Amino acid sequence: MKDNLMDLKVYGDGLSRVGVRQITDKIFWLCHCIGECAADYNGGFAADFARVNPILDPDASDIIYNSFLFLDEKTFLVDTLSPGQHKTMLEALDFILDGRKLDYMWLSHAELPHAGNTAAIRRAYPELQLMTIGDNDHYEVQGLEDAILLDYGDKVELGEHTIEIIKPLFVDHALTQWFYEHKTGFLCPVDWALNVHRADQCFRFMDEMEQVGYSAERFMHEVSTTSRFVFPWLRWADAEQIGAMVDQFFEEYDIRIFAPSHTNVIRTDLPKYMSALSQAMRMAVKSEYEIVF
Amino acid sequence: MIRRVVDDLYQIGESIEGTDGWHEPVRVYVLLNDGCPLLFDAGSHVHRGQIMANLRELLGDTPPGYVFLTHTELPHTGNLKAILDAWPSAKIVVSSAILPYCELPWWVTEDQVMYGHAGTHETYGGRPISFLDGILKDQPGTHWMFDEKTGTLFTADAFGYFYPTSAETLFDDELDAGVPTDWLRRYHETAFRFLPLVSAKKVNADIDKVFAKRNVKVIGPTHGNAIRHDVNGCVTRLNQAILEICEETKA
Ligand SMILES: [Fe+2]
Ligand SMILES: [Fe+2]
Ligand SMILES: [Fe+2]
Repeated sequence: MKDNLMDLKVYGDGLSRVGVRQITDKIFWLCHCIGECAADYNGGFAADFARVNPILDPDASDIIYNSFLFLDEKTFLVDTLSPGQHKTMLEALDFILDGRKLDYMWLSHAELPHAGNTAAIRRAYPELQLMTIGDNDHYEVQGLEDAILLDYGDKVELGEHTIEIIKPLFVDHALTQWFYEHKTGFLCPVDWALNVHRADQCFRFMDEMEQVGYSAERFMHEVSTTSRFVFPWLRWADAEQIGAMVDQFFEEYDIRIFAPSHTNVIRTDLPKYMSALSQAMRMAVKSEYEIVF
Repeated sequence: MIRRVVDDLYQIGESIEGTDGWHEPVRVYVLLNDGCPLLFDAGSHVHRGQIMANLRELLGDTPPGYVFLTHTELPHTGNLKAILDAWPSAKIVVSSAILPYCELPWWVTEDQVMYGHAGTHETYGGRPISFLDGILKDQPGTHWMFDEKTGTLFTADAFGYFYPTSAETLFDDELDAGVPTDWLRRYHETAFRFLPLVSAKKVNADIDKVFAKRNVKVIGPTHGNAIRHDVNGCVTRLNQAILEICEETKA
């Protein structure tokens, strides 16, 4: 199945597996998912999602965890993957960096799947500067007491690439930030737009998912359902307000690479997928998702 | 700091003082449970020495049977390794809504982990503990837990509050008029950044449903001292805090 994914390199296997794909000549995608193990470990989630929304495929149980690395004059790592991938993440980083040092480690938010390898990566690259979002306090309980604090609107110049910190639309943890890169139109919207794939569809860009039967419509249905799990507060929101907020966001940012933490990277047909996403968020607010009180 | 809340429920854990002088506590609750102690959350790595000393004093020679994690972020799990190193036989109980291979520390082994399913109850060391969804939370795989014997609801981040130094060791009945709305508001507007996008009425209706369904006598927030005296008053003040956050921050 991986024959046509020419540039794919995979480190480790099972629960620690990390695949590396190249997005542009200077941006790399480090993707963790568990392939054949997904039925055992994530099958309950897939079954729940399919029960809530019967359009969903209960066999599509594999979930993506992403990290990205920019190789510019400065090197910039986006999130760390989770502790279970600490060895494979370091191997993949070592391969991509190829002897260069890591300058920045930017944390989208302080949860284990996003920041859980912070200590391991710091040990391997002791000179790196850790970056988190400002305007909070008590950073030491999050292990972030010596991080650089960024504000919305701040820009991190990497050389050719300019990372602009932006206010997230959809958050779970308080210490959450998104970013937009101006040269490539790369948006990292972190937990937004979680989708799923089958065990034989790993490490694919969204256009490569289409080659195995995926579609923007499928994406819309999945995100409308998974969003109620990822952002349970949507049940208290207003569908039109959320939809309008998303549409306004899409007007403001010229997104050419859509690269969340738990989604296949989208590098073509952006308008089609962004309009599916806008619709998905309206649907998510209105959908039924059982809560146990 | 060890404080007895009610019956066999104790509270330990320290606080962090912010640059503005307000404290954020990170608590660990202990049910002694007659020979099979149950811990709720593991505390912060920042407070490891103090927590471990307090646990040893409180537990004596009795190892904890189970460590229940409300969710798995660092402030709740940072001290987990020290606990399991000291008492390797303890089991961890997490929400069935987490994926263990990504949301637990790498050194946790599969045989150490048990799962609590929302809507069910199980007995742990003979003690019935029931599980419900985290209603107000900052991580999807967060559950709230209820100890029927003491009537304690463990609410993870919800019902947390920041307090001035003078309130470090005080329960609600030891304050002049319970936990003030302002303290609850300070914490909730920081912890739950999505509140400006939602309807306070709907949030509060959901919180009220939880309390209508069971007889809660004590609230055990991880980031606050236990509320053991005026639960209804505290819920009312939280409702007010949510209302203020949702309404005043709306664009
Ligand atoms: Fe998250
Ligand atoms: Fe996969
Ligand atoms: Fe939390």
